[in-house]
Amino acid sequence: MKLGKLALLTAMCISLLFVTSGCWNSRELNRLAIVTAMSIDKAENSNKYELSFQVVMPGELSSSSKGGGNAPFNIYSVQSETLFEGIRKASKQVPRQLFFSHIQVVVLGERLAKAGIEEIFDFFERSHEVRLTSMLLVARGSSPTKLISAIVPLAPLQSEALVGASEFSAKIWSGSPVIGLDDAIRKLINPGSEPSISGLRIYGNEQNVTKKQNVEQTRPPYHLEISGIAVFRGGKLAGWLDNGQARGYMFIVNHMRSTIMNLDCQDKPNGLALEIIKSKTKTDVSMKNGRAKVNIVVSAEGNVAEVKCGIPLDKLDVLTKLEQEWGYEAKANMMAAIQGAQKLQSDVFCFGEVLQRKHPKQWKQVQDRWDETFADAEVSIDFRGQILRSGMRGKSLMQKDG
Amino acid sequence: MKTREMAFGKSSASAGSENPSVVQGQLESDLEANIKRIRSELGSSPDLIVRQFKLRTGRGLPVAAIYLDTITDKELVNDFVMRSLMSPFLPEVPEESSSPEAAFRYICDNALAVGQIEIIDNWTSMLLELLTGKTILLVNGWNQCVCGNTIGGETRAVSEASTQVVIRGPKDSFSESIATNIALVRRRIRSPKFGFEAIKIGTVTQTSVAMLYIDGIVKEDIKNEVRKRLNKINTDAILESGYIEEFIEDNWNSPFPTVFNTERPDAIAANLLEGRIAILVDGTPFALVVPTVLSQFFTAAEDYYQRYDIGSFIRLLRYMAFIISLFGPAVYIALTTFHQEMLPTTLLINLSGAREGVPFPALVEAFAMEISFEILREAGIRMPRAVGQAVSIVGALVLGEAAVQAGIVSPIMVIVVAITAIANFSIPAYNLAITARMLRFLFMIAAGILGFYGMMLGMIMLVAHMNSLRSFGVSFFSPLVPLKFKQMKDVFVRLPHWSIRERPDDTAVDKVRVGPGQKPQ
Repeated sequence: MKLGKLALLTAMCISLLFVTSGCWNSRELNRLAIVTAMSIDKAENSNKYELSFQVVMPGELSSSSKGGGNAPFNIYSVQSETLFEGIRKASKQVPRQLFFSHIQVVVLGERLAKAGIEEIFDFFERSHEVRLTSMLLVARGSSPTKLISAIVPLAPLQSEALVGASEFSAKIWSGSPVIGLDDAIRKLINPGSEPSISGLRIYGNEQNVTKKQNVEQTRPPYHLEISGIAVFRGGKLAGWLDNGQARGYMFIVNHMRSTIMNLDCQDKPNGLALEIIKSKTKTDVSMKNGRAKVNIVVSAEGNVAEVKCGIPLDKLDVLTKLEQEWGYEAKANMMAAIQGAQKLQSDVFCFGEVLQRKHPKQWKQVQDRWDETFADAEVSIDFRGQILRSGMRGKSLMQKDG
Repeated sequence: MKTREMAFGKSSASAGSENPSVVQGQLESDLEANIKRIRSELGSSPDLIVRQFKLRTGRGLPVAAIYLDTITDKELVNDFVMRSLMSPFLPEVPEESSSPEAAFRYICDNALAVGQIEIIDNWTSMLLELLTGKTILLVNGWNQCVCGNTIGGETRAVSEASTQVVIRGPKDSFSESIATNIALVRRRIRSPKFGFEAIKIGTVTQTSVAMLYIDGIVKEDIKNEVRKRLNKINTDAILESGYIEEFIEDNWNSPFPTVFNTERPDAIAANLLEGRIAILVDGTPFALVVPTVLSQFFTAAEDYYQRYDIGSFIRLLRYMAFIISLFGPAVYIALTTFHQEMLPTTLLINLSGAREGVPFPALVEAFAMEISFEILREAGIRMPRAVGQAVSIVGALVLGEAAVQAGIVSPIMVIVVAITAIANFSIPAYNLAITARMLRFLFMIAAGILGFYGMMLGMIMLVAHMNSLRSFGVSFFSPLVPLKFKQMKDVFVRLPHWSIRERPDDTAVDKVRVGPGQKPQ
C-alpha cells in the first residue's frame, strides 16, 4: 500500500515535469550550424537587407578530428526585408539549424551605416537567440560580406581574429574602441551621446579572399586591419576619425590603455618614441552663457622607449621639456578629434551624458538642441604627462658628451 | 569495567527464547545422559570433544570437559582446564563435602584456572555457550554445569585498513573478531565511562552484537532508541553489519545511507567521543555508527591527523568531487544539447567537432559510456587479481581508444566519464559514492529531457528529500539544517583542534571538548 502510494507520487512528479514549460528545445551539437560572425548591409538597389552568415565547419577546426583540408568556415548570404526573415530564410541553404548565440562579430556595411543603423538593433534586443555582447564593426571600403569571408592566418576562426585584432588594437595601440552591440544601443538611446564604432578595412588584393590557399603562403595578398572610428549622427554614419583624431578620441573617452607617441628628438623630427602606460581622463561639462564648456583633465604616465639622437635623458630639464612636448602633441590629437566631431555635430564623447549627470538642470535646457550646442562647445584640455622611466638603458649610445 | 556490562557469550534473555531450533529444558544430573543428549543435539559433530575423566580428588567423581575443537583455544583448554583439574597438587577435597554438589562448587572455586566462568543449568544457554567456543564442565550427579571462556580458533590478525587507508595515522583496523575489535576501541578510550552492551541477534546464527558508547557524552534517549531497535530485530541470521543497518535505519527507501560504517577503530573512537553510538558485529570488520549526518561521509580520519589547513582543503575537495561525480555527465548533456550558448565559442566548436559523426544523441552516448564504465569497475572489483589487469587493459583500450576511433563516442565524453569516475573514487565513504553513482543516471535523464531546468528540478527534489532524512532523530543535514554556525567548525572545513571547543550538540550531552585558552601563543 505504502509502496503503491510512493510509486503514484513519483509518477505524478515525473508527469509534472512534462507539463511545465521548460526549454524544450533540445539540439544536438552535430545538428547545429554555429554562426560566428554576421554581416548586415543594404542591398545595392533596393531597400532589402543583405545578410551574410559565417558558419564554422567544426570538423575542420577542432583538433580532435583531422578534417579534410576544406575551408574552416562557409558564408551563407541571403536578401530579405527584415533581419529575422533573413535568418530563417537562410535555413533553406544550410543543412543544419543555424545557431546564433555565438555570433562574436557583427559587421555593418557602409551603405547600411549611411542609411541608418537604428532599425537593426530592435531585432538584436528582441531576439533571445543572439547575444548583445557581440562586437560591432563597420566595413570600410569593401562589402562586409567580403570582410567576414576573408581567410586569415593565425586564427582558424576568423571572427576570433577580428575580435583579437580589435581588442589588441585597443589595448596596446589604443587606436579604436571595442564597441559591443549593447554599447551602441545604449549610446543610440541616450540623446547626450552618439555611437562610435571601429572600422574594419581590407588592404591589398581583395580578389580572392575566400580561397584557403591564401594562408598557405607566407605573405597573403591581403590583410584585415582595424582602421579608424566611425562617427554616427542620429544613427547615420557621418564620418570617420583617423590616426591622431582616433588617438585623441581614446584619450578623451578614457579608453587610452597604452600607445606609442612620437616626439621630436633634439633636431630629428619624430625621433623619440614615448610609450604611454597609464592614462586617466576626467571630464566636466557645464553651461556658461548658453555655451557648453568642456573641461578635460588627462593625467598620463609614460616611458621613453626609443631615442634616435643623443638626448641626455638623465637631465631633469630635458625630461620636463619632453613632457611639455608630449602635452602639446596629445592636446593637438584631442583637439583634432573634438573639432572633427564638432564638424559632424556628433557627440561621440558622450559629453551630453556627463552634463546630464553633473548638471541635470542645465541639461534639460539644452537637451533638444544638444547637437548644435556640442558643435559650439568651448573645450579646454589640461594634460598632465609624467615620464617615469627610460627603459633598460640609461645613456643613449649616440650621446657624445660626458 | 562497568558492572552493568555483560560479558560475551552470556545470552540475553530475549534471544533464542522464541526460537524453535534451540532446545529447551534443564540439565539432568546424570553425566552420561547429558553427554548423550549433547551429542545428539549437535548431530555427532566430529569437532565435538568430550573428555571424560575422574576427578583425582573427591573419590574419583566422573567429570566431563566438553568443547568444540574448531572454535576453542586448545592451549587454554589444556593448560587451564584440564591441567588444573588433573593436577596432582590439587588440594584434597574435604571428606564431608565429597558430594557431587560440593565437588562442583570446589571445581568452580578452586580448580578452574580460567578468567571468566559461569554456572548454567539449562540446555538453551549451555548449547549456546558451547557453540560460541566455551568449554563446558559437567559433574556426574549434579544438574548444573560450569562453562569457562576458552573462545579461540582461527581469526584474522589485526591488519592494515584496506578500505579507508591513511597516509598519516594509525594503521590498525578491525578484524572479524568482535572481542578484538572492542579491545582496539577500548585501548583508545581508557575511561571508566566507556561502556558497551552486548546482545545476540539472529535466531540461528546467534551473532554477538555490541553497542558501544561513552556515558556522560551520549544522549540517553538516542541510546535507548538504538537499544530498542536492536532488540526488535528478529531474523535468522546476521552475517554482516549491513544486515543490522537495514533493520535499524530510519529511511529504508532513500538512496542515501543514514548509518555510517567504518573499519577504523580510531574513527569509531572519535565518533564515540562525539556522543555517537557504535554497533560492532561479530564476524565483520565493519562497525556501524549512529546517528549519522551527511558531513560524516566526507570526513576521513586523516583530516584530523594532518594539520588543519591540509585537512580543510582536502575536505572541500571531496565535497567538490561529490558534486562532480553527481552532476558531471548531466552538465555535459545539458550544455551540449540545450545550453550551447553558455560555452565559450572555441570550446563549443571543439565539442562540436568532436561530436561530428557521432551517431547517437549526447544522452545515449553518455549513458552508454557511463554504463560500460560501471560494468568495467564492477568487473575490476570482483575479478581475481590475476585477471584484473586484463580487464583494465581491455577497458582502457576499448572504452578510451577504440570507441573514439570507431566514432561511436566523442573523446570529450571519455574525458567526462573519466573525471566523473575519478571524482567518485575520491569520496571516502563507499556507500555514499555508490549513491552518487546511482543518482547520476537520474540526473542525466533529467538533463537529457529538460536541460539545466530539469537538473534544477532534480536538485530541488534531491535537497528536499535529503532534508527529510533523519538518523535516530538527528537531521541528516545537521548542522546545516537547522543552521548552527557554531557547530560548523568541523563540517566543510576542519578548524584547528583547539578552536573546536564543543562537541556536536545533537548527539553529545556534555559538550565541552577543549578547555579555554588552548590557542597556541
